[in-house]
Amino acid sequence: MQCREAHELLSALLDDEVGAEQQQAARAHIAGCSLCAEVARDYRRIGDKLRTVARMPAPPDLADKVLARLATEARSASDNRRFHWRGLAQQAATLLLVCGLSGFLGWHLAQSNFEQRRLERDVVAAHVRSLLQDSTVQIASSESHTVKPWFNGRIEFAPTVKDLTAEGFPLIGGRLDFIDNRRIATLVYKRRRHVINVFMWPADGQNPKAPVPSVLQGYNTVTWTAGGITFWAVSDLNAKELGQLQGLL
Amino acid sequence: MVAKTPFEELVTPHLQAAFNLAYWIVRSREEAEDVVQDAYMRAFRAFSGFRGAAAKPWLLAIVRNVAYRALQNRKRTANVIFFSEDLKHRDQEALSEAESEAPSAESILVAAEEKQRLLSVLAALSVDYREVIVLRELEGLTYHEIAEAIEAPVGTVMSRLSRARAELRDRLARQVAKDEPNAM
Repeated sequence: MQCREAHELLSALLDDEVGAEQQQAARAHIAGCSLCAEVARDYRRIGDKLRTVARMPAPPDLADKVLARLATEARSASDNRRFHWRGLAQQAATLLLVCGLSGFLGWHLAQSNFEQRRLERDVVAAHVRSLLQDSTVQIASSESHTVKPWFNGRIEFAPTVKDLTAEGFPLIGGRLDFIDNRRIATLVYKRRRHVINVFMWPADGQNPKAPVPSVLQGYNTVTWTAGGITFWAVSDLNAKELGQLQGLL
Repeated sequence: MVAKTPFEELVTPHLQAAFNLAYWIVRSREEAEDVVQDAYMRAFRAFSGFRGAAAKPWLLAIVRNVAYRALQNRKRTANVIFFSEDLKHRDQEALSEAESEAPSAESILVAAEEKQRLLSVLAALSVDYREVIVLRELEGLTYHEIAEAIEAPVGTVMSRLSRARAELRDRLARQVAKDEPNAM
């Protein structure tokens, strides 16, 4: 056995935590190696000294303190158990009633509203994420005839792409996103120094929906459905100008 | 006196060990007292789920978790600028506290200077080395029990203890060389 190997075993050897075979080999090495023998001696000496000086005696009243707290804890636990049943049953009944009522009343409203909020959270997150990347777009071009064909074969619908440079909303480009478990098209426009992400995917129904503006985490959003496509525009641009862009698309 | 509950019977004999471990993790008697009390409450609440063979490592694992949380809280609340000063101060505090303990017959045999050196070197070890040294050398736990207490594999216990002992020996030797430059 080599010194290095023995060195690693020294500590476990002292603690009697080494298998019989290795133990024999390690002991044989130490017997013939003064260096390892010295380390072993030191380890044992330090351990012995630690045992005499380093043990911190607990304060004498600690046991009483702990037992007193335990007694209080045990009493309140059994109190709780006895009390709980009646109180809990009453509370549960009331809760059930309230839940049922409000559930019936609010289910439809909540469902669509909840869905809307969830999508808004997702698109705002996608917007912020796009700003964290080196580039907001995968295809950079202000030409709608370049950007639109780029989406061919990448998604299952033809997105609406317009170059609105003349109107003060230059097209920066487009990219793919993943929202609501599907691949969608995102177009990026700019207004002065504000980035506007316009997310779009096929609508559930063909009915157009009027624009609904909203604010989330300081970002203005507006969603609408037109031509069988649901749009979400997100930006830190003011709501009025974002509405303008909506009108142009 | 009322008859002891099974919990008290199993767990109270390890109060001294619990305090010792808590002290060597947080390095303050006052905080160690709080840690032990909290840990015992937690242990009491978790006791119905305790199916292990040995109560000591089970209890020490809880003490250790509470003590680590206390350490983290201290870090979070400590003023960033004065943090290192604070630690130094705490070490001093720990040492003077350790020294003020009434000497037992054995410890008188060890020179005061040597004792202080040993305590300060142990206190200066990193906490993951310190805890395995305490659990092995002071509490005499087996590797298997230490593994349970620090929630790590036995192999980790073995290698960490080996490194901790080497580190402790090195630091002691360096400290001796510094304190007694002519002794070498």
